Amino acid sequence: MTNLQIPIIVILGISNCVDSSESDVWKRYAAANAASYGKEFIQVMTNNLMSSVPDLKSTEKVVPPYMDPKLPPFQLHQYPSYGNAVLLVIPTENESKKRLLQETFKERAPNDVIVHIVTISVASGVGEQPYNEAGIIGAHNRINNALLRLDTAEYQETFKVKRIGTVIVASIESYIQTDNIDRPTDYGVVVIHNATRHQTTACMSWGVTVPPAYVNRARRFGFEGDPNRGRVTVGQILAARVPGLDKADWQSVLAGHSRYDLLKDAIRQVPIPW
Amino acid sequence: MAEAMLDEKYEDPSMKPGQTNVYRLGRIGSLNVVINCLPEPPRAADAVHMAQNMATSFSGIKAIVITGFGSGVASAGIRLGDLVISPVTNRYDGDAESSSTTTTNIVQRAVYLLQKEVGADGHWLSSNPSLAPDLPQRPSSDLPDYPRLHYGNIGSGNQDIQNKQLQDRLAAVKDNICFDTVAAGIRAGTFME
Repeated sequence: MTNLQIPIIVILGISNCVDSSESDVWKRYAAANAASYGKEFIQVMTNNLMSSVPDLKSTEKVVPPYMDPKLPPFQLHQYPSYGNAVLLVIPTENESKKRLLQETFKERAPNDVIVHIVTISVASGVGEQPYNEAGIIGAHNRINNALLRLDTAEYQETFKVKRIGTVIVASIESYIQTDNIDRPTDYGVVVIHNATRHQTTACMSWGVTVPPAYVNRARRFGFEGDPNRGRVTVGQILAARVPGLDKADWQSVLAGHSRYDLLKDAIRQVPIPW
Repeated sequence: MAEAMLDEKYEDPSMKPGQTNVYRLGRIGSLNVVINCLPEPPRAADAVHMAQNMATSFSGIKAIVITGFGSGVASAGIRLGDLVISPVTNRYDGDAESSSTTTTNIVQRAVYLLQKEVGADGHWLSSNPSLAPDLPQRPSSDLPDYPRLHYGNIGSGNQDIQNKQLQDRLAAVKDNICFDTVAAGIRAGTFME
């Protein structure tokens, strides 16, 4: 027999533990998951997306906004009024986006306006990687969820102590447009909502095109029934396949423009409904 | 179940009328796949025999993927429904040969790549319609609704796995877990000698 070297992988679902009895339901569940992993494992071996920073450098373009963002209306909320200060709510955990919004509001606040900033961690409801209309829905959900949280007892003291009279929520959602477009493009949408005066402004950032193969790969990992909500970001796929690429700002390498600069430009253009 | 994972099924041209073929042929992505099922009850000797047959019947087999179910040791942190993933590097040449586990092979690279893309836990497996359209729900509700993944690299330490927790887990898998039937046989006896 010839001297073959064949690598092996064993993927086992656990259908019983030493002290428990085995059931057919668990066997089926375990075997199905093992097969699912096996399939994705074979996929990874087949699709050759490996590349390098020099090969991808400046291969993509910065493109203008695709459309004017159209938002569904926000629910009305009544918050207590204790003075003239503005409560700026930032509904994200993303440090860079947080910083962008803080800086913008500090820069642009009129002299007589005191801005107090809180960040609230909320769900966007659209997964880690939204596509198409899920981008705007994500920004909208973040604001809605933050508004609901402000109604809870947790924030009543803040209203009082900080003499809040106006509530503004500002959110940024990055997403990838694939529909009605030649090449998939990563955009950001900025939404600023004054909940006290019930006024909303919004703006799209310039976008950065993405090689479709990486988008297709990321789109394999979604939530059931909604192709526009993704679990795995295109940045994660790119970073895994291109050593040295930053999953949060691959735009710098692929298009020569940082995602944060593009978002900053967009935020500068949005009128703030003080 | 493995058959349902194929993107496309192929007819076997060598099939004669009335003959039942044990192999199922198809494609996942751009790779051709040969599927074979072990007879019940699964025995290690059968698995080894089958792998040898497949390797000689089909030239250019790049990797052998064995999927199934097994039992885990609860004290090693393994719970019902979890997945244990063990890339094994073997010098496979018939009856007996020493194992070579020093270089990373395509199997190990693929495991690492998948982990880097989608994360080390099994979240992505819980509701991925493109993978298993008929994946049953996790039967118990007091556990997370996704299978946790435990990586073991039998026969060698994996430098790619730097996370302390993973290393601990890996050690646990290596020492304590009880793979019943097939995997145990392949690991312990036959392929690795």
